[in-house]
Amino acid sequence: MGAKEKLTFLFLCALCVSVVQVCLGCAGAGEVIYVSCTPDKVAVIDPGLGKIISFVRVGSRPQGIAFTPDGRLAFVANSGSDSVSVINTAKLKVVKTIPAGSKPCDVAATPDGELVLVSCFGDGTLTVIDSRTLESTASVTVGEEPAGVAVSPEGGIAYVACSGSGTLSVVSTATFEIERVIEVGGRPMDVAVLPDGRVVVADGTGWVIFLEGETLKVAGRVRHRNAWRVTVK
Amino acid sequence: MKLTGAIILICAMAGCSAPMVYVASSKGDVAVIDASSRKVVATFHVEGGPEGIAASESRPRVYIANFWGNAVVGVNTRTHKVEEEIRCYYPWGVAVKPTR
Repeated sequence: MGAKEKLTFLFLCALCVSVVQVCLGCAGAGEVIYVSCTPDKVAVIDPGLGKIISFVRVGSRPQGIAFTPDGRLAFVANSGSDSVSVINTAKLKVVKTIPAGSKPCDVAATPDGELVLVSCFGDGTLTVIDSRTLESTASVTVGEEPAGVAVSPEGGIAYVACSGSGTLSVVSTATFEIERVIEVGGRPMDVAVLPDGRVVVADGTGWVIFLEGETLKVAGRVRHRNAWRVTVK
Repeated sequence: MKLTGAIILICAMAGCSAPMVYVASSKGDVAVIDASSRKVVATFHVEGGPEGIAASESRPRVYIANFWGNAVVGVNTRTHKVEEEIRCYYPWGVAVKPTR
């Protein structure tokens, strides 16, 4: 096959992928989102259909939600009842309620699905949950008023945005020890990790801060008033 | 040159473009930042005080839970327009169930 034919073949493949993507986007592709709703429910929604499929009753004032990578379990931080509800997504039932620190706020799972990390706004801790035993296995003291939590692509590091202390805590998921504390300033509310390992912090006041993956040096700041929540697509 | 252009076009069509960072302000202003250049490439606004934000794996969507707006919206990441709105009571967190 010549270069031209190869290129044509690749172009046609990409065209097919695009068509499929557009079709999936229009039809909804069966995608399901979970939304924590006041005072004590999680709404299971098919956004493509614009419909709530079901409600699952959880603890009081649910906030952050995270799934295991296989989608089998969802973990919901119940800020009003200092616990985490574990939902079996096939049965749409809470299978366990796990005690956490005070005012659990956000949740993240490691890429291998083994650990679930819960930031606890009220007492400045990170609750660590073993997703196989569904038991809390550790509690790590981080900065003040931890809000957003995210995990590095290889799973070895958890980043916790500590809104009360203006810091980003860097926690080893192997030892559950604080490896570093990065002064980011402001009132960091959320954190996300890019596929290449760079870290993005929404500082809660007026900046989006990009940190290099390994050195965690500030690579740049982007002005965005009241930067509050962040995600990567 | 032509080959590079063609590869970029193919990559863009296949959806393997550089990651974008979506940052929602507490007032509902959302900035779309190119992660490579760290430039704001688009902005849009949603009503009602975002508390949760999550990106779709399979659709061109970012979902935003608007606490005071009592709704979750699906924003088309190509047009930056709200395409879906689902009413729910003071929503906070939002997460996309993995399909793997």
